[in-house]
Amino acid sequence: MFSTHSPSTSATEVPDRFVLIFDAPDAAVPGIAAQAREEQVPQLLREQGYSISEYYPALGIAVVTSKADQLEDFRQRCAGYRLPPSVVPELVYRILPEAAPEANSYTDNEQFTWGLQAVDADLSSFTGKGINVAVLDTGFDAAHPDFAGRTITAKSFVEGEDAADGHGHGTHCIGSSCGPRTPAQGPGYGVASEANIFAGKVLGADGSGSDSTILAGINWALENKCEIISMSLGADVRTVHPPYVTAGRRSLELGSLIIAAAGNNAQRSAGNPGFVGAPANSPYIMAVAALDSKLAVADFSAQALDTEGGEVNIAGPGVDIYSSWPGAQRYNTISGTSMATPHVAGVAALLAESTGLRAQELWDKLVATARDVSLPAQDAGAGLAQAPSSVEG
Amino acid sequence: MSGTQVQIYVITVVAAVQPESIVDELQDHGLRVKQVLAALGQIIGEGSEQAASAVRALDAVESVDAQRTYRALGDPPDEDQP
Repeated sequence: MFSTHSPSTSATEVPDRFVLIFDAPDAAVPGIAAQAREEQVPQLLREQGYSISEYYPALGIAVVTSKADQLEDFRQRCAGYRLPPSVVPELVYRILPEAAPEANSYTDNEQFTWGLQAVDADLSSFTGKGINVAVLDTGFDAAHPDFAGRTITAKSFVEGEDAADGHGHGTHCIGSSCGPRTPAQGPGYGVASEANIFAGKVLGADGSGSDSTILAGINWALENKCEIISMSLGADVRTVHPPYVTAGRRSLELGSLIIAAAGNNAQRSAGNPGFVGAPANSPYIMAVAALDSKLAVADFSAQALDTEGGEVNIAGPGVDIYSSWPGAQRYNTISGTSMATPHVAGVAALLAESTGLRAQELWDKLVATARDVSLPAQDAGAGLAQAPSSVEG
Repeated sequence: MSGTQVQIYVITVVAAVQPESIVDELQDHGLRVKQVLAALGQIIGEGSEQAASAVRALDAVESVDAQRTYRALGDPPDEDQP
């Protein structure tokens, strides 16, 4: 008995109508001669009582009306001539309905923060498992209960301070990038909830750091083969700082992508669009802008510079972001391009997991899959980073 | 800035050179090496502007940049604005 395929599409089968493929790649005798398609096949169809009005000799394909037993008889006759067709039911196709419009406004709900919803992390089957994400910041509260059982490597590059977070900013950023999606209490707030966490303390408890701590942190992340390096830090300077041109380029060469906050030096409501600061203004470092929950650019989010590397490359949720916080407080809601950056870093980890892409290819994928939120590129780059819902091609 | 004032510099080594291999040379030119960042091909050193100028002239050195400072770009505690 012939078999029919079970299509996974929403198309429906037409009763007693079949498509016969005499030259299918998986046919018993693929690549049949043109002469057979033009002469033998139509003759066999006629002999079986089928109309040949829907036979297409150039394709070797016929569409016939037939009962199943008649078709099986025909298939066996054709096999005798070494021309057995593949048989599939004829399907009716319909215009696909328009996809449901994407939301343009979000709020934190019981399950997920608005940021996770906006980057589609709430819908993603990927979690960043197996991906090393370095967050270079003010350290991390490794005793936070939401991170129990996670793979965490912490190191301080700040003289006189251990890797604990005496500020809060680092724990918050690690929460957004790598925190849980289903914590014991409150909404899920972490994009790459199963990534391996590398908490590099490069900013002190006062929230500031220097080239020597930050570059040492990048070097450490590279030694640990971190695919993603998230840096929610910056200086309000327009000039590119050469050490980060080298750091960004060498990171890409070694399979890592540095993602950095564009800067908070704008005050758009007062007519000041600001500018992308260092190190995000380096050509090989991805600069991240901040959006609010209505997907408007944040008032403080810096605009692109008119220099190579000074572009805003992508955007993430960065206003009123709920995430982890050190000590008894446990959670806090704060704003900044700092908060947008770990969302993008988390999405990068999911894409790294789903596609296997690294470095520049991962950068390209992040940009290509970003959601157009109808904002100028100088404000939001390619748009809002989007988590993969299934395996990306 | 005075030529004798000591500050921290980032020395980026040219791609073909291992940073460890020029540590002695940098120190001979008056730069005290604090860290060697092998993966990045960079060295953190401390010295005078004079020493930095001397190091900048070496063939194995791509650039010498005075250290900058950075800050976290989210709300600090107890502040309303990012």
